[in-house]
Amino acid sequence: MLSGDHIMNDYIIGIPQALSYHYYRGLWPTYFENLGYHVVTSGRTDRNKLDAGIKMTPSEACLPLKCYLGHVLSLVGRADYIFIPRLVCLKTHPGIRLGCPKLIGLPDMVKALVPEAKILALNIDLREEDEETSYVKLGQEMGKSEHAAQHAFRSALADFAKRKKNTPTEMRPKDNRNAKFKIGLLGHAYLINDDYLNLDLKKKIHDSGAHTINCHDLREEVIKTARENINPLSWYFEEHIISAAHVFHNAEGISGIIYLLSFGCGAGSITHEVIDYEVRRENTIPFLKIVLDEHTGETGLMTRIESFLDMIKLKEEQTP
Amino acid sequence: MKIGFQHMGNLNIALGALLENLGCEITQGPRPNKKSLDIGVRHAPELVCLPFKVTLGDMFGALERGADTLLFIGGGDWSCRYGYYGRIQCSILRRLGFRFSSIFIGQHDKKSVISEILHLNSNSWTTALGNWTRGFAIGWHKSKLVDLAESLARMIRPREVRKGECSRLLSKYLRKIENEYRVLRLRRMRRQIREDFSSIEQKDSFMPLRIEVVGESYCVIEPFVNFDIIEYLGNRGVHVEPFLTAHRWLFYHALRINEDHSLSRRVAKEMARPFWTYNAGGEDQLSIAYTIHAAKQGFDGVIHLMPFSCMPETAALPVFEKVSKMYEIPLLNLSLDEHTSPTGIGTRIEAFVDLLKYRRDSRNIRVKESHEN
Repeated sequence: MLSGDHIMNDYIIGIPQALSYHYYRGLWPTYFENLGYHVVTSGRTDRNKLDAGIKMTPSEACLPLKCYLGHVLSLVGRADYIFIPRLVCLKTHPGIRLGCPKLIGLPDMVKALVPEAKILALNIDLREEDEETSYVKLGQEMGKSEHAAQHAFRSALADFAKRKKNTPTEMRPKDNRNAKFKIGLLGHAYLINDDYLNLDLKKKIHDSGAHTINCHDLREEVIKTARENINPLSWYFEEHIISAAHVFHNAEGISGIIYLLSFGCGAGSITHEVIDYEVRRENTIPFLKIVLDEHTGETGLMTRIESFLDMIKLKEEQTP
Repeated sequence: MKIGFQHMGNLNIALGALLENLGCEITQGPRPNKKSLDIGVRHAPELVCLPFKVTLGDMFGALERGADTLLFIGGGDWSCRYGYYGRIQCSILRRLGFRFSSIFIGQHDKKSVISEILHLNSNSWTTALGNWTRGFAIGWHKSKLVDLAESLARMIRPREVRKGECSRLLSKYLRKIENEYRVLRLRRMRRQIREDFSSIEQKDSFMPLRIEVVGESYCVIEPFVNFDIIEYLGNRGVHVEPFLTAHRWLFYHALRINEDHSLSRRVAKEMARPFWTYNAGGEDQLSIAYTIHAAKQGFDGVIHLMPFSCMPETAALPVFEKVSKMYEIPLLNLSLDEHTSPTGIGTRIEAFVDLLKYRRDSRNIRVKESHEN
């Protein structure tokens, strides 16, 4: 991982703003800033990043992964070290919950594809050690004292928790106060929160006159209760999606659900099946599955969303 | 209890023997074929991987033949989709109107499995234990014999003088092993197999190319999905060695017994660790280790098989390429799905083999020249 020498204080740490970054929004930049480093993030996804990523990743990989490589490439040269997390095991109780294989192998994969990048890898494997120990170890490897690393992590975590608490559960766009119905959005945070990858889906829905409820903005307690009602799955992030699907299917006032997934997402094919037959069952709430890849066209997406919303409108009018 | 389970190479010989001794009746579907694959593809989720579709077809076939219990191997806390095969396949088959009960090895609570075994053996502990031991011994010996016959066939096939002799002998012994139920005779058969295979006339001076097959376990083991790559290349004078066989797979996943004596799991992990730190769910770490192992053992090339969109193998793909460059061993990656045609795969494999031949010959010339100088 590190070549043995400690990382100087004036070194710049780059953080790719893709994949798991969207789940830990702000935690990692704050942690490194607390340690006294200068941090650059790769910014939003754009055409150049995505194209660069697509060119070098194996063609079978999923869209977010290709996008991640693009972000890493954009940081090469701008940052001295690139921070890449490895999410192996994220929960041990009541059952073991793992990251997807692509998240488990991420640093190794980047190392093989971008040999010129200096990588700072963080392994989170709760089967071996708790989260704090992992962060403290990383800090120590970078040449900081145990105490400093611990302090940096704790205050970053507190910050992260505070910000998470303050995010609105329901996003109401200003110009859209009189929108008639609410659409639940399901999918990985790195698809839903990356407006370039999902072709600005949220805005398209807002423009067509509907609210969206992001499954990652739901309150933790709500998800927790839903989690008790579903058959467990050993992928950490998929479990969240299924719990959220359970919430949406049983909540009052949700008129439709859109499930976003990327082509080549292995877990997605199972998750969709589980949502369809274990959560959904006899429920008749309209459900739209959108599979994204790098060839998805904006017009095609627009047509599907419009017809979905028109169908919901018709349905609402017919049932008083 | 009529029990059905998936096909995977010659898995049915060993597993069938064990289950029969426990008092089950084996009702398997036909071996994977075009028709069973079509059924699997029709009912499986669209984006799921190929082994799911093929095994779903197997299960469908078993139920059609009257199985009332399905056995699923694997499951539980896996990061790969393989862990969910049983759960999703059961739900699909139940929706199709089949009535059956299911057993998940590795996931099911042990209590209910044990009580089921007891029930099959007229609720007597001693009979159950005796049958289990006997079944296990027979299954183990059969599995080992199949493994031995297969490995001898792989080794000798490229060098045989009369084409097809090895395959004929192999299928003869597979039948014989399947129909033999006495441990003592099975033990005796061991020497007989060795003798018969060594009596096959071989080209003495011919040195076949050696290729290691790595990748996803089902694609490596099941001849239907990899278009019988071992026999195909064997008949063209190439010795193909898979990194995993049905025997090793079964006893590792069911009982954690490592049956490969050339490379232990621990050593393999250590070998792959610099390139691939964690096992991502499938056989990815092991595959990388075997790629390195093959290079060290002087193999001529590596073929990497995986189903299209396989999670762990796709993630590991760049690492395979890195390892192949670093250890200077040519690598061919083939991703398989229901649309893969045998002709396309055949062309790619033949081109790869031609390259390997050329590479070896030019190396030999270089070595000769340096000796002469």
